[in-house]
Amino acid sequence: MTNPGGTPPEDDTIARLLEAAGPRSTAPKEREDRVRDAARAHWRRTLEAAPRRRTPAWIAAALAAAAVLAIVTAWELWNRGQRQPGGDIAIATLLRSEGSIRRIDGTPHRADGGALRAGDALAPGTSVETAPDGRAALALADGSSLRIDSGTRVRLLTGPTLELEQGAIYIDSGPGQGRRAFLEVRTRLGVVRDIGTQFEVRLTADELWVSVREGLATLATAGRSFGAPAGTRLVAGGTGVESRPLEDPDWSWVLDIAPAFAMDGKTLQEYFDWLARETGWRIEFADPGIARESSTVVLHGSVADLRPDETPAAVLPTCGLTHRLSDGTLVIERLDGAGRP
Amino acid sequence: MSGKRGAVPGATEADRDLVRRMLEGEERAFTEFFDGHFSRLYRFALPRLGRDADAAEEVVQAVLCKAITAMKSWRGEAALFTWLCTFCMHEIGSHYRQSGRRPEALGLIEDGPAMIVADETRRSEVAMLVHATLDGLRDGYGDVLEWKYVLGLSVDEIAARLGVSPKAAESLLTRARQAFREAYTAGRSPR
Repeated sequence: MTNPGGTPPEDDTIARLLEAAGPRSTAPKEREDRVRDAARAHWRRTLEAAPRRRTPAWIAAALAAAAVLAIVTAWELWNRGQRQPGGDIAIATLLRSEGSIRRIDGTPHRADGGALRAGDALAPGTSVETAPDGRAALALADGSSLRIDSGTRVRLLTGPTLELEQGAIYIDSGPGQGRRAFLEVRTRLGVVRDIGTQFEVRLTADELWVSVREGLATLATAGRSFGAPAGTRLVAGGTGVESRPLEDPDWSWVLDIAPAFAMDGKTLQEYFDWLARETGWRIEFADPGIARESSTVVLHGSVADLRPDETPAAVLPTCGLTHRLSDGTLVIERLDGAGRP
Repeated sequence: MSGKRGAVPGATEADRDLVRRMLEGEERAFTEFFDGHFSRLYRFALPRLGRDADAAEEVVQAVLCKAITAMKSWRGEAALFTWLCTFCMHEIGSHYRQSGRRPEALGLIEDGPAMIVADETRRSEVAMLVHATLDGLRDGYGDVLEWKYVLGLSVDEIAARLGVSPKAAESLLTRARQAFREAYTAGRSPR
């Protein structure tokens, strides 16, 4: 390193020493992920072995009523649908749907016309088609969340590969820890690959849109590859590929069909993590004590009927908290006169 | 960190806060704990295990798990990383005992992360000493020095990364250089 700022010679020596040594090495990602998972699991077991400071059971009246209803969690649905009646391993499970959707898997004369219901497992090669009033949310075998917009037809191929024939899909492949193979979306106008991200792929009559909400995705088309970081949209069509800023994106359909958060028994911290991922909001705490205490507060009840962005109004008051949303930041505050959550 | 060789750096307020939040079960605290120590421990263990990556992974995992179990007993008499290094030394010794092998001309560190194995070429030895010194610095000094002098970030860019003013970042760099100078000199001192 040179001495552009006229730093003392001694500092310049440090600079040259560090520059010559180069960057510190890091462990391969897979090793780091394995150790992280093991250490986190051990940490949680250690915490569980110690008595929790508090496990309050406040439930808002509205939530209490909902809690009486049978709550089928995404996990339960997934377990129920892991194996096809014929014995094939499922590569996706339907978590939630609205309107008309159906499967097309080559089975002739289905009595139900291919209708799908929550919990159904889907085998490789199956296509899912949503009507103009239909939407669906699926869990893929690798843990990614797949949401299918109305008027869409998408085929589930083997491995983490999808083929979008028409319409739009949204994928949340998680924050990237412990990742397996990258997910791939094939279309007639190019192949999209995710690199730990949340993104939408929309296929119109003559264009392919790749809109990245978080992380990074790539588009391979006509022998070239293009990167799309968060906040950008790649548009591929007859004139090539164009990158545009993602101005005023509309993720409302993604929120509309978001799988329910299985809240009962989860901590407030886990709720905040889910909320931030689903809404894209940054979460801040007016009082640092709230952040500390959120990992020990256990929630009960259900928010299954609410969109993610509607849940704070139902959940937070039961914890003595309130919120305000400003420029994409959700600020969590204590309710006036409320004690600690 | 003291410039006196062998002095053990004490815990910072940040260390105490991190341990308290870990014990309270705060998920973010675990992430901070892991991200702040895993790579440093791995680099600490790898050369002492003959660059056996599988053994280093196994040792570091054991270190982190045992430290988590014992975290309630951490009294803050030494910096958290120094405390973890003592676990690491025990685990490395245990690894060699169980495998029936002997360390290769190790010159294992007796009293801190800033000292180093001396069984490689001079160039790589210096690089390892620099890296070990950076790993042993507290308060994120190692990171800011690496950002500045290895990655070439400007003071403004470092300030933005840390969410502090450029003036505060410059001040941090000054303290980091001083800490590095002292620790590196101590690490190079003849035994």
